[in-house]
Amino acid sequence: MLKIENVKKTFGKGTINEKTAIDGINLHLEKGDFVTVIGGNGAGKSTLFGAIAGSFICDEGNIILDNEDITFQKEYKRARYIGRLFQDPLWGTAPNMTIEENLSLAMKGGAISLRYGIRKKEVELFKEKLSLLGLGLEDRLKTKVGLLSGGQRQAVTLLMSTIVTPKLLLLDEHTAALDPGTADKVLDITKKIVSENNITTMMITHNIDSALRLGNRTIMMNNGKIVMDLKGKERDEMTTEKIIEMFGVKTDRMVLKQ
Amino acid sequence: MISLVAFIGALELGFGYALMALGLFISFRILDIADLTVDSSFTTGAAVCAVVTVAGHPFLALICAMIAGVLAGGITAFLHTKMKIQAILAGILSMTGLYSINLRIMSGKPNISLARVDTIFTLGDEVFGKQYSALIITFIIALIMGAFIIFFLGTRLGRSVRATGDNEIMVRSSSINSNMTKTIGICIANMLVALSGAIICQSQKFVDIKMGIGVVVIGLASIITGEVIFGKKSIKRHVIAVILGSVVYRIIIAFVLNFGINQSDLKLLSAVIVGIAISYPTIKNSLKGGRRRA
Repeated sequence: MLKIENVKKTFGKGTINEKTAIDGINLHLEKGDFVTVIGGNGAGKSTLFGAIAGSFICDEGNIILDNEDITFQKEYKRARYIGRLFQDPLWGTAPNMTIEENLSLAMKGGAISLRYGIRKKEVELFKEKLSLLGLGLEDRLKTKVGLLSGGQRQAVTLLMSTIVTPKLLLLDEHTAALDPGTADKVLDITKKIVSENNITTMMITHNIDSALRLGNRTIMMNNGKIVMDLKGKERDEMTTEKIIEMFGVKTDRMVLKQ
Repeated sequence: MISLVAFIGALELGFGYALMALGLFISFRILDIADLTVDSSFTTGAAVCAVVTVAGHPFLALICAMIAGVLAGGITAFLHTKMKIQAILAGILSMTGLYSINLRIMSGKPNISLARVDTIFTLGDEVFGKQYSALIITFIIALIMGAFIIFFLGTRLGRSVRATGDNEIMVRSSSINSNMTKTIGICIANMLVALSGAIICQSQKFVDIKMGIGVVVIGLASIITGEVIFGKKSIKRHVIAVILGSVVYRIIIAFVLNFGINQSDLKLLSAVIVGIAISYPTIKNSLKGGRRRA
């Protein structure tokens, strides 16, 4: 499904700030895999996501998604089949546009279409999908997204990323900025959508506990490299304590969140 | 009070300049880009229009002006999106360059008179009668363009353009090509501005190389006036507010002129109005006693 082969990226090459953010990453994902990604700040987790999503072109290596080499493909083209959520709930939606207008932007095809308004069929689809969130948003299609709470906005963003089932979903700590209750709710919705549509997913988290509980594979990154890759029985037997023992505590945030 | 003739004249100008305000509305409000190309693309529209009108094609002149506007906007958009120049500087570069191009279009003369040629307005006089024809024509054109903008912003493409101005971070990581949406927005904006220049040129039967100076400020003043009086709840309402804002602005100017204020002081007045209107929230805050250092 996803093949990342020897990918490297160095920022600020030849300057005093030179930093090799990812350093020779190799990773193969099967269809339907749910991989959780852990690692301290600056380990290269978000940079890896940026490389996959095309925020920049990698210095070395190849990225192949579903048998298509996307190493040099532009970000907006990859976005047609790679959904991406960020930590900041304000990043994923246009605040001065309504819920239905935001969702309509996520529909497939016709980015340059001059069809006026939103089709009835689409509105029905939006209502159906919104009702699955259980947040009561299905009755507020004409509400501007800027009026929603962070959790609601993140849920709408999640819906936008998955309304046309993506080949790959990248979740970059998408619940970290929400209060604990809302974060749980958004995570539940995420699990539901991902498992129902069998979406191949990668999720960055600082919470080692939930990293081991969620999904079927966990990788740990440090200094731009994958230093641990857990799956199957080995993963089932792994505990938060063991990981901390093996790698030491990388950041304060890891302690706070376990 | 002002005379009926002056009042009708103000309405005409209001609808004529409303197109320019609509263009600014697209760049400043929808795309959130300070596009200063406008000061020159307005004149470009007028100059192209004058040349084609003198050659005997008053309708074709408007279309040529619009095309010229699209090209002018295209240059700015190219500099901004492909060459990664800040929007405001990209606009200043095209504005400066266009000044020379405008003079070339006008064969090196600083002004051209349309006194003895047919314009859409002299042709309209025969249809609508002399007194109201200019008002009716400018009104119809403003109406058509307003409807066009409302339609466009409601299409899928228009929504993508709106999203680009509303949340650039979102658009950058979405399947929308933000370079394309910005380019389309800036081109349409300058198309409207150039058409506005063409209409003003034909109605005043005159084009001057300096006629575009300060139109950005006039456009902003119209937009703000409209927003304050008529609101901006929905796109439809916002567009109508911008058009009417331009008309109200012209009526205010007509009254001000009637008080005996010098014509040459008008630009200062417009700048002060825009300055105060934009800084109003800050001024209000500090007057209401937000916390300050003792």
